[in-house]
Order: sequence, then structure tokens, then C-alpha cells
Amino acid sequence: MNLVILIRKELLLELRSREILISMITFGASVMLLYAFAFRPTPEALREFAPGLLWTVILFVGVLALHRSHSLEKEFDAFSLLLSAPVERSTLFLSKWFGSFILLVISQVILLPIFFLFLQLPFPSKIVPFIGLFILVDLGISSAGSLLSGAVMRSRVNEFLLPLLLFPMVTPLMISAVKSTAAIMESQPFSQWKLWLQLIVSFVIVFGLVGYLIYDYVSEE
Amino acid sequence: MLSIENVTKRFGNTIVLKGASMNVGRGESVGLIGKNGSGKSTLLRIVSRILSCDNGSITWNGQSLMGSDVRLRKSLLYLGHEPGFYPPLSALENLQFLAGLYGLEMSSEQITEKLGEVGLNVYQKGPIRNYSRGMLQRLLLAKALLITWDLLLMDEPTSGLDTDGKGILSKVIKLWRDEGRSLFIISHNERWISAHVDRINVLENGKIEAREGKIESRGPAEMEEEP
Repeated sequence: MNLVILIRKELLLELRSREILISMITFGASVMLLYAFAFRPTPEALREFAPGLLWTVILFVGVLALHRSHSLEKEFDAFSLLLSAPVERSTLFLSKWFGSFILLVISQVILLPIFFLFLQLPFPSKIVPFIGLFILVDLGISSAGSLLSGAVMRSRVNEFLLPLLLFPMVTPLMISAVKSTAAIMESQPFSQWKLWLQLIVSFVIVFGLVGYLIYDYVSEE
Repeated sequence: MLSIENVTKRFGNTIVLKGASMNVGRGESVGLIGKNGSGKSTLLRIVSRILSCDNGSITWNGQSLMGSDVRLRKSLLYLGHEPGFYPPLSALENLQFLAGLYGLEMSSEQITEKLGEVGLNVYQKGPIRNYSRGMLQRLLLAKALLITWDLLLMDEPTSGLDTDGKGILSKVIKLWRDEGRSLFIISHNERWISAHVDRINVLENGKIEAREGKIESRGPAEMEEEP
């Protein structure tokens, strides 16, 4: 029950402030347009680079959401309300995780068509694995990111620390995401990218569990 | 009863609390005074489990508050020096969220009534980002009226309040004391606090000592903020 209340609060905060989604979409769309107009690669080269470009944008956009989600807790010391309330710290982690995941998904619903449209790429024909892959990778980015942004939120240089720690941490996830996306876009059989998918699932489970178990310690001042 | 035993807290090389110990009995109202930076707020944040301590123990009715059992925290309410609310949300939305966290099912009308008791019902719909310091302090007071608690932890409750606000605060503190609820109030304002508690402790050099002498009830003029 508390989890539902907390996730609803995360979404209500975004509905009222409209800070996170607007900045995510504006930034993401700007970078995609930059890619579309700055580079003039051949269609073959573009197909090769597209998954990497796409996930780079999504990671940057994700950092915006993760940072803002925790910085809203710092304003007026709202986080103390959560820490002193009768709520499990692991539930706080889950709410941050799923809250940022939902925002990532919403931003991608808008950004993905822009990406394929402006880079003049055909949308993958295997739509279900494509969406499933995005959901899994988003869960991975938001689990590792929520754990880290909770740990660095009280630091004076948290804007700088979050990407500095997050990018190396999610490198295996990003490599797997790029390889799997390329395989789906090229309609390769599942056996060709199964290993990458297993890596993504393992990442989500490990960081979800670690965050659930240690958020109590990382969230205290 | 709240029992704080030998609590120590260090921030880097600075030791703020050096074995601080004190109790707040059932139905008792206890004040803690001390200079700026003496560690009063730190102690209150440790009791509220916002901060962890390095050593020592804190128990509430014999059960440790330092464990992960959140049910114990239902009977404690922390009113910090900072508002502890979400600026983009309205007063009503903030209190609705809070009531949900404490497992209370309250209608908007019931919450509006509480806001009315602290003089905020007119401003309930706008974001609290635009509130003055005194209005935020009144909102904190509404939080204490909304939640059912056994021990209230208050950090500088008069901060930013105007005369009317201080009057409301004094009235509700008297009501809570009459109801036999426990209060732990910290302030640097000895005059004000002495009118609202049964006994006063002093936090100095990281340790807590009882203030000697009888606390006398004072008139309204003496309850004003010290210059």
C-alpha cells in the first residue's frame, strides 16, 4: 500500500512541476536532431551506429530524471519526512526505482518515433522483443540510478557525482542493450542475442536486489 | 518512555555528541536547550532515525528505535526545523500524502478542517513553494494535528511564527500536555520553552545535563522570542 502511495507521489510531483519530463524530452529530441542533421552517413553505416546513438541519448535522458527525482527530496528537506515516517527504506527504493522507470518509459514513447523518423530508419519489425528489451534496460538504468542517486543526493557535487559513478556502472548494461537492439533491428534469430539478454536480466536482478537490501544504509545522512 | 543512552555522533573530525543520555517519560514534556551547533537538531534527527548514531542506544517503551521495525515509528512524529514537505504540491496534497503514509484514511474535508485550525485553509490549493516561513511552520503544526502520535519531537517550533501562530502553538501544546501526550521540544529560546515543558535539559559539549531549579510558568510577554 505504501509503495502505491509513494509512486503516486512521484508521479504527482512530476504532474505538478512538469520539470523532469519536459527536460528529458527537450534534451533527448535536441540530441537526436543534432545527430540527424550533423552526420550524413550512408544508410549501412547509420544502421550500424543507430543502436549506440539511441542508447547514449536514453542514458543521458535517464540521468536527468534520476537526478531531479532525488533533488526534489532535498528541497525543503522533504526526504526527512520519508525517513522518519513508518515506511520501510526498501519500499522507498522501490518507489524511486519504479517512479523513474515510468518517467523513462513515457519519455521513450515520445523520443523513439522522433529517433526513427529523423534518422530515416525503418522501425523494427519485431515490435514485441523490441519493447520488451526497452522495458528491461529501463528497469536496469533506473535500479542502478536510483540506488546511486540516493547515495549521492546529500553531496554538494551530486550533479557531477551521479553520472561519474553511474556511467561506468551501467557499461555492461549499455553494451548488452546496444548489441541486442542491433540484433533486433537486423531481425537476427533470438539465439544470436540471447546471451546479451541474459546479461541484461542479471543486471536488473542484481541491482534491484542490492538496492532493496542496502537502501536503508545509503539513504541515511 | 523514550530513553536515550550514551549516544555519540561524529561528523568527520568533529564529535557533536559525546555520550548524550536523557529520558522522556510517558505524558511528560521535556525541553532541550543549547547553543547553536551544540547538536540539538542532530540528536532529534537521530531519534527520528533520519540520522544514524555511531554508538549508544535509543529505545521507545523498551524497544529499540534503531532497528528496522517501522511500526514503532508510527507512534513518533518528527517536526523538523526545515518544513519536510514537497514544494510543488499544495498543503492539501502534502497532508493527504502524509496521512496515507501513516495509514490514515482521511477525506479532503477532514484535512481542510485541520488546515483551518492553523489558519491555512484559505491557502490550501496553491503550491507550498510560495509559502512564507511562518506559513510552513503552521503547516507543520497541521501535520501534528493530523497524525495520531504518542511522542512528538519538535525542533525550534516557534521559528518564523508570528504572534498569532505562537498563540496557536501554545494552545495546542497545552492541549497535548493535558491529554497526557509526550513532547520532546528543542529550542535555543529558554524563556519560551520553559513555559511549555515540565523540565529542561541542557546540551553542552556533547553531553546532556538537567537544568537546575524549578521551571515557572511565565506570562505571554515573556514567551516572545528573545532578542
